[in-house]
Amino acid sequence: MKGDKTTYPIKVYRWLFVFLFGLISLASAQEANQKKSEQTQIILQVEGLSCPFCAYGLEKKLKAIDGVKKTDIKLNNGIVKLYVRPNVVIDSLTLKKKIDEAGFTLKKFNRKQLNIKNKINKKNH
Amino acid sequence: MRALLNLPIIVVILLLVEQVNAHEPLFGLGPHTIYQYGYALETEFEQSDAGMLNRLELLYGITADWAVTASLPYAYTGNNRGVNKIVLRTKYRFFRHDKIGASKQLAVHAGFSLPIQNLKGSKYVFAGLSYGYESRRHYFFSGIRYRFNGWERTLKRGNIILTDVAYGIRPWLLEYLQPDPVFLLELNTQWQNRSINNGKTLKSTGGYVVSLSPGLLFSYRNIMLKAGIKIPIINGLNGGQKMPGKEYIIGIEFHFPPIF
Repeated sequence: MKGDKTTYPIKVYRWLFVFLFGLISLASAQEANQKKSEQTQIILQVEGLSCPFCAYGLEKKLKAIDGVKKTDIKLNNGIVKLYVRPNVVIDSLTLKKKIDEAGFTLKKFNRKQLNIKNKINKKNH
Repeated sequence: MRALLNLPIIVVILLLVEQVNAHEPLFGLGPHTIYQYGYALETEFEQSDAGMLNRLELLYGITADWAVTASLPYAYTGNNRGVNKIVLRTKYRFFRHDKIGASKQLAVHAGFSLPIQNLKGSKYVFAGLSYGYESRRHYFFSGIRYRFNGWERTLKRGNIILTDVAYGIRPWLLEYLQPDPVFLLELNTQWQNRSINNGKTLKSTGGYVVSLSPGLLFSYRNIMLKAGIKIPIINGLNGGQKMPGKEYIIGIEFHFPPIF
Protein backbone atom coordinates (compact mmCIF):
# COMPACT_ATOMS: atom_id res chain seq x y z
CA MET A 1 0.00 0.00 0.00
CA LYS A 2 2.82 2.28 0.93
CA GLY A 3 4.42 1.60 -2.46
CA ASP A 4 1.21 2.56 -4.22
CA LYS A 5 1.05 5.85 -2.30
CA THR A 6 4.63 6.74 -3.32
CA THR A 7 4.18 5.86 -7.07
CA TYR A 8 0.85 7.68 -7.43
CA PRO A 9 2.24 11.26 -7.10
CA ILE A 10 5.10 10.45 -9.54
CA LYS A 11 2.54 9.48 -12.20
CA VAL A 12 0.71 12.71 -11.54
CA TYR A 13 3.92 14.70 -11.98
CA ARG A 14 4.67 12.78 -15.17
CA TRP A 15 1.24 13.59 -16.63
CA LEU A 16 1.53 17.14 -15.41
CA PHE A 17 4.92 17.46 -17.14
CA VAL A 18 3.49 16.05 -20.38
CA PHE A 19 0.52 18.42 -20.12
CA LEU A 20 2.72 21.47 -19.49
CA PHE A 21 5.12 20.52 -22.31
CA GLY A 22 2.18 20.14 -24.64
CA LEU A 23 0.79 23.49 -23.55
CA ILE A 24 4.12 25.29 -24.10
CA SER A 25 4.54 23.66 -27.53
CA LEU A 26 1.03 24.68 -28.50
CA ALA A 27 1.61 28.24 -27.31
CA SER A 28 4.89 28.58 -29.23
CA ALA A 29 3.34 27.05 -32.36
CA GLN A 30 0.46 29.50 -32.08
CA GLU A 31 2.92 32.36 -31.66
CA ALA A 32 4.88 31.27 -34.74
CA ASN A 33 1.66 30.94 -36.68
CA GLN A 34 0.59 34.39 -35.51
CA LYS A 35 3.91 35.85 -36.72
CA LYS A 36 3.50 34.12 -40.08
CA SER A 37 -0.03 35.36 -40.41
CA GLU A 38 1.14 38.92 -39.80
CA GLN A 39 3.86 38.74 -42.48
CA THR A 40 3.38 41.08 -45.42
CA GLN A 41 4.12 40.05 -48.95
CA ILE A 42 4.99 42.61 -51.61
CA ILE A 43 4.80 41.47 -55.19
CA LEU A 44 6.87 43.44 -57.69
CA GLN A 45 6.82 43.36 -61.45
CA VAL A 46 10.39 44.17 -62.54
CA GLU A 47 11.40 44.91 -66.13
CA GLY A 48 14.80 44.13 -67.62
CA LEU A 49 15.35 41.06 -65.47
CA SER A 50 16.66 38.40 -67.80
CA CYS A 51 19.64 36.64 -66.27
CA PRO A 52 20.29 34.99 -62.89
CA PHE A 53 23.75 36.56 -62.61
CA CYS A 54 22.29 40.08 -62.76
CA ALA A 55 19.47 39.15 -60.38
CA TYR A 56 22.06 38.79 -57.61
CA GLY A 57 22.42 42.59 -57.42
CA LEU A 58 18.66 43.02 -57.23
CA GLU A 59 18.39 40.46 -54.44
CA LYS A 60 21.10 42.21 -52.41
CA LYS A 61 19.60 45.67 -52.97
CA LEU A 62 16.12 44.54 -51.90
CA LYS A 63 17.38 42.58 -48.90
CA ALA A 64 19.17 45.71 -47.72
CA ILE A 65 15.79 47.42 -47.20
CA ASP A 66 14.96 47.46 -43.52
CA GLY A 67 12.22 44.94 -42.76
CA VAL A 68 12.71 42.68 -45.78
CA LYS A 69 13.17 39.12 -44.52
CA LYS A 70 13.25 37.15 -47.74
CA THR A 71 13.09 37.61 -51.51
CA ASP A 72 11.83 35.24 -54.14
CA ILE A 73 12.86 36.09 -57.72
CA LYS A 74 11.12 34.53 -60.69
CA LEU A 75 12.99 35.39 -63.88
CA ASN A 76 10.60 33.85 -66.38
CA ASN A 77 7.78 36.23 -65.51
CA GLY A 78 9.74 39.10 -63.92
CA ILE A 79 8.00 38.68 -60.57
CA VAL A 80 9.86 39.43 -57.35
CA LYS A 81 8.20 38.62 -54.03
CA LEU A 82 9.33 40.31 -50.85
CA TYR A 83 8.45 38.91 -47.44
CA VAL A 84 8.40 41.78 -44.99
CA ARG A 85 8.37 41.81 -41.17
CA PRO A 86 5.09 42.71 -39.50
CA ASN A 87 4.40 46.42 -38.92
CA VAL A 88 7.07 47.51 -41.43
CA VAL A 89 5.91 49.81 -44.19
CA ILE A 90 7.99 50.03 -47.35
CA ASP A 91 6.90 52.76 -49.72
CA SER A 92 6.99 52.54 -53.50
CA LEU A 93 9.68 55.26 -53.77
CA THR A 94 12.13 53.19 -51.70
CA LEU A 95 11.42 50.14 -53.83
CA LYS A 96 11.81 52.12 -57.06
CA LYS A 97 15.11 53.62 -55.85
CA LYS A 98 16.57 50.24 -54.89
CA ILE A 99 15.47 48.63 -58.15
CA ASP A 100 16.96 51.57 -60.12
CA GLU A 101 20.22 51.15 -58.22
CA ALA A 102 20.25 47.49 -59.26
CA GLY A 103 19.86 48.56 -62.90
CA PHE A 104 16.25 47.50 -63.49
CA THR A 105 12.84 49.13 -63.81
CA LEU A 106 9.91 48.75 -61.43
CA LYS A 107 6.73 48.42 -63.43
CA LYS A 108 4.18 47.84 -60.66
CA PHE A 109 3.83 46.52 -57.16
CA ASN A 110 1.16 44.99 -55.03
CA ARG A 111 1.10 44.62 -51.27
CA LYS A 112 -0.90 42.00 -49.45
CA GLN A 113 -1.21 40.73 -45.90
CA LEU A 114 -0.52 37.05 -45.68
CA ASN A 115 -2.95 35.24 -43.45
CA ILE A 116 -1.95 31.63 -43.39
CA LYS A 117 -4.17 30.90 -40.34
CA ASN A 118 -7.29 31.92 -42.21
CA LYS A 119 -6.32 29.84 -45.19
CA ILE A 120 -5.91 26.79 -42.96
CA ASN A 121 -9.27 27.42 -41.32
CA LYS A 122 -10.97 27.78 -44.69
CA LYS A 123 -9.42 24.50 -45.83
CA ASN A 124 -10.69 22.77 -42.70
CA HIS A 125 -14.24 23.94 -43.32
CA MET B 1 60.65 60.08 -61.65
CA ARG B 2 57.73 60.47 -64.03
CA ALA B 3 56.53 57.03 -62.99
CA LEU B 4 56.61 58.19 -59.39
CA LEU B 5 54.58 61.25 -60.34
CA ASN B 6 52.02 58.90 -61.91
CA LEU B 7 51.81 56.77 -58.79
CA PRO B 8 49.49 58.98 -56.72
CA ILE B 9 47.11 59.21 -59.66
CA ILE B 10 47.09 55.42 -59.98
CA VAL B 11 46.54 54.97 -56.26
CA VAL B 12 43.71 57.51 -56.20
CA ILE B 13 42.05 55.89 -59.20
CA LEU B 14 42.52 52.43 -57.70
CA LEU B 15 40.85 53.58 -54.53
CA LEU B 16 37.94 54.93 -56.51
CA VAL B 17 37.91 52.04 -58.86
CA GLU B 18 36.62 48.62 -58.37
CA GLN B 19 33.80 47.25 -60.61
CA VAL B 20 31.82 44.50 -63.65
CA ASN B 21 30.74 42.93 -66.87
CA ALA B 22 28.51 39.90 -66.54
CA HIS B 23 27.05 38.53 -69.80
CA GLU B 24 29.15 40.20 -72.45
CA PRO B 25 31.30 39.14 -75.40
CA LEU B 26 34.65 37.67 -74.37
CA PHE B 27 36.66 39.45 -77.08
CA GLY B 28 34.33 42.35 -77.85
CA LEU B 29 32.45 45.08 -76.05
CA GLY B 30 29.15 45.02 -74.21
CA PRO B 31 27.08 47.69 -72.43
CA HIS B 32 26.58 45.82 -69.14
CA THR B 33 27.33 47.66 -65.92
CA ILE B 34 27.13 46.58 -62.28
CA TYR B 35 24.60 47.61 -59.63
CA GLN B 36 25.32 50.85 -57.76
CA TYR B 37 28.04 50.49 -55.10
CA GLY B 38 28.58 46.90 -56.18
CA TYR B 39 32.03 45.58 -56.89
CA ALA B 40 33.54 42.55 -58.52
CA LEU B 41 36.82 40.78 -58.91
CA GLU B 42 37.77 39.08 -62.12
CA THR B 43 40.78 37.15 -63.29
CA GLU B 44 41.43 35.99 -66.84
CA PHE B 45 44.16 33.97 -68.49
CA GLU B 46 44.85 34.66 -72.16
CA GLN B 47 47.09 32.64 -74.45
CA SER B 48 48.08 34.05 -77.85
CA ASP B 49 51.11 34.40 -80.15
CA ALA B 50 52.42 37.00 -77.71
CA GLY B 51 52.48 34.42 -74.90
CA MET B 52 50.43 33.95 -71.76
CA LEU B 53 48.84 36.86 -69.97
CA ASN B 54 46.86 37.05 -66.75
CA ARG B 55 44.57 39.97 -66.03
CA LEU B 56 43.37 40.81 -62.57
CA GLU B 57 40.48 43.25 -62.65
CA LEU B 58 38.66 45.21 -60.01
CA LEU B 59 35.31 46.60 -61.00
CA TYR B 60 33.03 49.09 -59.29
CA GLY B 61 29.60 50.55 -59.95
CA ILE B 62 29.54 54.28 -59.23
CA THR B 63 25.91 54.27 -60.33
CA ALA B 64 23.84 51.54 -61.96
CA ASP B 65 24.85 53.05 -65.33
CA TRP B 66 28.44 54.05 -64.70
CA ALA B 67 31.16 51.51 -64.03
CA VAL B 68 34.93 51.76 -63.71
CA THR B 69 37.56 49.05 -64.00
CA ALA B 70 41.22 48.78 -63.06
CA SER B 71 43.07 46.00 -64.81
CA LEU B 72 46.55 44.69 -64.01
CA PRO B 73 47.91 42.52 -66.83
CA TYR B 74 50.69 40.14 -65.85
CA ALA B 75 52.76 38.78 -68.74
CA TYR B 76 54.31 35.35 -68.21
CA THR B 77 56.48 35.42 -71.33
CA GLY B 78 58.24 37.88 -73.65
CA ASN B 79 60.41 40.92 -72.99
CA ASN B 80 57.80 42.65 -70.83
CA ARG B 81 57.45 39.82 -68.32
CA GLY B 82 55.63 40.80 -65.14
CA VAL B 83 53.29 43.70 -64.47
CA ASN B 84 54.38 46.63 -66.57
CA LYS B 85 51.21 48.63 -66.98
CA ILE B 86 47.84 49.33 -65.50
CA VAL B 87 44.76 49.70 -67.66
CA LEU B 88 41.92 51.91 -66.48
CA ARG B 89 38.56 51.73 -68.18
CA THR B 90 35.19 53.33 -67.72
CA LYS B 91 31.80 52.66 -69.20
CA TYR B 92 28.68 54.78 -69.17
CA ARG B 93 25.35 53.29 -70.17
CA PHE B 94 23.42 56.22 -71.56
CA PHE B 95 20.40 54.32 -72.85
CA ARG B 96 18.41 51.49 -71.34
CA HIS B 97 14.99 50.28 -72.36
CA ASP B 98 13.61 47.51 -70.16
CA LYS B 99 10.75 45.15 -70.87
CA ILE B 100 9.58 42.06 -69.03
CA GLY B 101 12.50 39.65 -69.30
CA ALA B 102 14.45 41.79 -71.78
CA SER B 103 16.56 44.92 -72.10
CA LYS B 104 18.15 47.08 -74.80
CA GLN B 105 21.21 49.09 -73.85
CA LEU B 106 23.78 51.48 -75.31
CA ALA B 107 27.03 52.50 -73.65
CA VAL B 108 30.12 54.59 -74.32
CA HIS B 109 33.54 53.30 -73.31
CA ALA B 110 36.89 54.92 -72.70
CA GLY B 111 40.18 53.83 -71.23
CA PHE B 112 43.92 54.14 -71.22
CA SER B 113 47.04 52.26 -70.20
CA LEU B 114 49.74 53.61 -67.93
CA PRO B 115 53.21 52.06 -67.94
CA ILE B 116 54.34 51.52 -64.35
CA GLN B 117 57.92 50.27 -64.78
CA ASN B 118 60.25 53.04 -65.93
CA LEU B 119 57.64 54.04 -68.51
CA LYS B 120 58.37 50.90 -70.53
CA GLY B 121 55.55 49.18 -72.33
CA SER B 122 52.94 50.46 -74.69
CA LYS B 123 50.75 53.42 -73.91
CA TYR B 124 47.34 53.69 -75.47
CA VAL B 125 44.00 55.42 -75.21
CA PHE B 126 40.76 53.99 -76.50
CA ALA B 127 37.16 55.07 -76.99
CA GLY B 128 34.21 52.92 -77.97
CA LEU B 129 30.50 52.45 -78.32
CA SER B 130 28.50 49.30 -77.65
CA TYR B 131 24.95 48.08 -78.08
CA GLY B 132 23.35 45.12 -76.37
CA TYR B 133 20.03 43.34 -76.50
CA GLU B 134 19.42 40.77 -73.85
CA SER B 135 16.40 38.55 -73.31
CA ARG B 136 15.75 35.37 -71.40
CA ARG B 137 16.70 33.31 -74.46
CA HIS B 138 18.83 35.46 -76.80
CA TYR B 139 21.70 37.93 -76.63
CA PHE B 140 22.91 40.27 -79.32
CA PHE B 141 25.89 42.58 -78.96
CA SER B 142 27.78 44.92 -81.24
CA GLY B 143 30.62 47.28 -80.55
CA ILE B 144 33.26 49.50 -82.06
CA ARG B 145 36.52 50.76 -80.54
CA TYR B 146 39.25 53.07 -81.72
CA ARG B 147 42.64 52.68 -80.10
CA PHE B 148 45.31 55.38 -80.34
CA ASN B 149 48.71 53.80 -79.74
CA GLY B 150 51.39 55.94 -78.15
CA TRP B 151 55.07 56.23 -78.96
CA GLU B 152 57.57 53.75 -77.54
CA ARG B 153 60.83 55.68 -77.97
CA THR B 154 61.13 55.84 -81.79
CA LEU B 155 58.36 53.34 -82.54
CA LYS B 156 54.73 54.28 -83.10
CA ARG B 157 52.47 51.28 -83.59
CA GLY B 158 49.55 51.83 -85.92
CA ASN B 159 46.21 52.86 -84.47
CA ILE B 160 43.56 50.14 -84.38
CA ILE B 161 39.84 49.95 -85.11
CA LEU B 162 38.07 46.97 -83.56
CA THR B 163 34.51 45.97 -84.43
CA ASP B 164 32.53 43.13 -82.94
CA VAL B 165 29.16 41.48 -83.32
CA ALA B 166 28.08 38.65 -81.06
CA TYR B 167 25.12 36.37 -80.64
CA GLY B 168 24.39 34.38 -77.49
CA ILE B 169 21.81 31.80 -76.57
CA ARG B 170 20.60 30.45 -73.25
CA PRO B 171 19.45 26.91 -74.07
CA TRP B 172 17.71 26.32 -70.75
CA LEU B 173 15.56 29.04 -69.17
CA LEU B 174 16.47 28.23 -65.61
CA GLU B 175 15.45 30.33 -62.64
CA TYR B 176 17.50 32.31 -60.15
CA LEU B 177 19.71 30.13 -57.91
CA GLN B 178 20.15 27.58 -60.69
CA PRO B 179 23.27 27.16 -62.87
CA ASP B 180 23.01 29.22 -66.05
CA PRO B 181 25.01 28.39 -69.20
CA VAL B 182 25.07 30.80 -72.16
CA PHE B 183 26.75 29.99 -75.48
CA LEU B 184 28.29 32.83 -77.50
CA LEU B 185 29.53 33.26 -81.03
CA GLU B 186 31.45 36.42 -81.91
CA LEU B 187 32.70 37.90 -85.15
CA ASN B 188 35.65 40.17 -84.39
CA THR B 189 37.43 42.41 -86.86
CA GLN B 190 40.64 44.32 -86.36
CA TRP B 191 42.04 46.97 -88.72
CA GLN B 192 45.44 48.39 -87.95
CA ASN B 193 47.40 51.18 -89.61
CA ARG B 194 51.04 50.68 -90.53
CA SER B 195 53.57 51.34 -87.77
CA ILE B 196 56.24 54.04 -87.94
CA ASN B 197 59.81 53.65 -86.73
CA ASN B 198 62.39 56.46 -86.83
CA GLY B 199 60.08 58.42 -89.10
CA LYS B 200 59.80 55.56 -91.62
CA THR B 201 56.59 53.66 -92.34
CA LEU B 202 57.07 49.92 -91.87
CA LYS B 203 55.62 48.10 -94.88
CA SER B 204 55.12 44.73 -93.24
CA THR B 205 52.83 46.04 -90.53
CA GLY B 206 49.12 46.74 -90.27
CA GLY B 207 46.21 45.31 -92.20
CA TYR B 208 43.09 43.53 -91.09
CA VAL B 209 42.12 40.23 -89.47
CA VAL B 210 38.63 38.77 -89.15
CA SER B 211 38.08 36.17 -86.41
CA LEU B 212 35.30 33.88 -85.32
CA SER B 213 35.10 33.30 -81.58
CA PRO B 214 32.93 30.70 -79.89
CA GLY B 215 32.61 31.03 -76.13
CA LEU B 216 30.81 29.88 -73.03
CA LEU B 217 29.59 31.81 -69.99
CA PHE B 218 28.55 29.67 -67.06
CA SER B 219 27.16 31.41 -64.00
CA TYR B 220 25.79 30.36 -60.67
CA ARG B 221 24.39 33.17 -58.54
CA ASN B 222 27.31 35.63 -58.20
CA ILE B 223 30.06 33.52 -59.79
CA MET B 224 30.72 33.29 -63.51
CA LEU B 225 33.16 31.11 -65.43
CA LYS B 226 34.12 32.20 -68.95
CA ALA B 227 35.98 30.45 -71.73
CA GLY B 228 36.46 31.19 -75.41
CA ILE B 229 38.68 30.79 -78.49
CA LYS B 230 39.35 33.48 -81.07
CA ILE B 231 40.04 31.84 -84.42
CA PRO B 232 41.35 34.07 -87.24
CA ILE B 233 39.57 33.13 -90.47
CA ILE B 234 40.37 35.90 -92.98
CA ASN B 235 43.24 38.34 -93.13
CA GLY B 236 44.45 41.17 -95.30
CA LEU B 237 47.73 41.82 -93.55
CA ASN B 238 50.29 44.03 -95.25
CA GLY B 239 53.65 42.75 -96.45
CA GLY B 240 54.72 39.23 -95.64
CA GLN B 241 52.90 38.93 -92.34
CA LYS B 242 51.58 35.53 -91.34
CA MET B 243 48.02 34.87 -90.23
CA PRO B 244 47.98 35.28 -86.44
CA GLY B 245 47.39 32.20 -84.28
CA LYS B 246 44.39 31.38 -82.14
CA GLU B 247 43.74 33.19 -78.88
CA TYR B 248 42.40 31.37 -75.86
CA ILE B 249 40.73 32.96 -72.87
CA ILE B 250 39.52 31.52 -69.59
CA GLY B 251 38.32 33.51 -66.61
CA ILE B 252 36.32 33.71 -63.45
CA GLU B 253 34.29 36.64 -62.10
CA PHE B 254 32.86 37.20 -58.62
CA HIS B 255 30.24 39.81 -57.81
CA PHE B 256 30.16 41.04 -54.25
CA PRO B 257 27.27 42.61 -52.32
CA PRO B 258 26.96 46.40 -52.57
CA ILE B 259 28.97 48.26 -49.97
CA PHE B 260 25.99 50.52 -49.16
